Amino acid sequence: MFSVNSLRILKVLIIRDIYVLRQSIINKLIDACIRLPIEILIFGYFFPLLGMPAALIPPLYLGMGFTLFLIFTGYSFSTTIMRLIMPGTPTVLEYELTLPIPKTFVFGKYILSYMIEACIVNLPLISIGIWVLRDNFSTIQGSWIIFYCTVLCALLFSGLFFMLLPLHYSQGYFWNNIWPRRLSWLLNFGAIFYTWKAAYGLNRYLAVAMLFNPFTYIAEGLRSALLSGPDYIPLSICLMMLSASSALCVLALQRSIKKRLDPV
Amino acid sequence: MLLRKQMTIFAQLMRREAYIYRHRVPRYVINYLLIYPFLYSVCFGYLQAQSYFGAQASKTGTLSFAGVGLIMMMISSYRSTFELFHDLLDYKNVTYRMTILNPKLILLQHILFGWLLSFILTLPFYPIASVLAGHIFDTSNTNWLLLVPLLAAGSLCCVTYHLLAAIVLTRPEQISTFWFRGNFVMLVFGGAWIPHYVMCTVVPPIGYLAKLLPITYISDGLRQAIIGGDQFMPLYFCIPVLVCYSVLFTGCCWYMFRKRLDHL
Repeated sequence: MFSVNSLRILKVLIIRDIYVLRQSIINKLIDACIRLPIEILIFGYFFPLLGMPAALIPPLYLGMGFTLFLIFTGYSFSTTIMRLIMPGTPTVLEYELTLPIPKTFVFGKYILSYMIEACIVNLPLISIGIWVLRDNFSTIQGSWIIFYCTVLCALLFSGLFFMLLPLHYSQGYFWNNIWPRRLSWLLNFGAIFYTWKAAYGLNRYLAVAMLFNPFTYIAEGLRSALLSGPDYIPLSICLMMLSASSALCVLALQRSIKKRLDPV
Repeated sequence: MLLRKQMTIFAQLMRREAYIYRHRVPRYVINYLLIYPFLYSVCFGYLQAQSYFGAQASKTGTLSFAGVGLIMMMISSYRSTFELFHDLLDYKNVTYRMTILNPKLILLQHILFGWLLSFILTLPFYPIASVLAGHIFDTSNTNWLLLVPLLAAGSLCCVTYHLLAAIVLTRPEQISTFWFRGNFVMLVFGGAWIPHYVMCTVVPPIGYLAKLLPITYISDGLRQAIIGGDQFMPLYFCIPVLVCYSVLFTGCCWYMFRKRLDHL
């Protein structure tokens, strides 16, 4: 079924999504602009005044600034998908599934749109945040290109993961339990609010358990890409684990889509 | 006679709510009395406090962690009030209720039930946290008796605030914006992690603006009850302010509720 026509249809679908995004981008940018000063104030000024060492500002800003955003926007993406697959209501997804393209393209389109939106909203802002806190980021040893590549890897994983949630879990479980029983764990034990090495120094069992959380590799990977040094999990390991997690998500997605939607 | 009849219906509606929520009790117990206290105690009370403040973790960690209960309060009050939001989307239950009960009493019933539920779910948070993160979360100066009326006033304020949001919001997509622009900002500047006096020291204008947020009085009250000291507002000031805010939000709820249901 893979043909030039399929690619053309995919392109049109993505252009349509970008057109829709154009109408809501202001709202999303406002959300991001609210988040940016909050993160800068918390990690750049408030916590250091309480006694947090200034050396922790860059890793914590990188970890929280991006990964927290990823979880919040990812959850929002999940809820959108959940509304699209709710039984009884005709949605745009049902129409898209009737198009003469491989079904993976339809779901891939949603992930790609999510990645484009997240890039537009977040990349400039995280860069502005680093510029505002530049005095603390004077020890940048990594590379910006590698950093942005890591961001793309993280976005790909995040798109796959947050698409999987509504397709894998039942509607009742999703609305009632997904946040406390799944996302909260990933958020609180994802080396976002502290570095993994610091957690390892405090409790090695907990730190080892955190290695099963893919968000640990996102936060640590970003730190490692931009700041380098021995204080973070090496970038190569982070990228490898993110790729493995993405592959697992793809496999789980294939099963869940078939089970939930059974597209012919 | 009419009043007695109305009170009977009011009591029956309360029983109905209790009957519906009876099935949710196991889920709420697991999510709110086990998962959240454990997660927040380990993440914020132990890992974050130790890795940020090192040797000072017990003192500064308690200062920071004392406000974290606010997150629980916000989540539980959201959960206990947003049934009305879903009800108002298609006017199913509320239409029926309007035919048998005074609209003011319908609103009062939502507030009363939401408040009781939220209060019950929030109450064990600090005792459980003190058990789980006892060596970091210093409760030697805690006035447990004063904490109870503060949690009651705080829950009432949060419930009326969320009920107002449930009436004002008209689309499910607005909920994530409400959490992001409303609750997240309120939690940060209201002192969930950073005490109000630190905000006043770092950025005085934000400190003054934060005094307009009802949450500031809950967080400062919590810190006063748990840690004590001159730097926090006294409880005899915080509790009446919270009650005043609750009355204000209830008034706004009534106005918006009437406006929304006028056509029925």
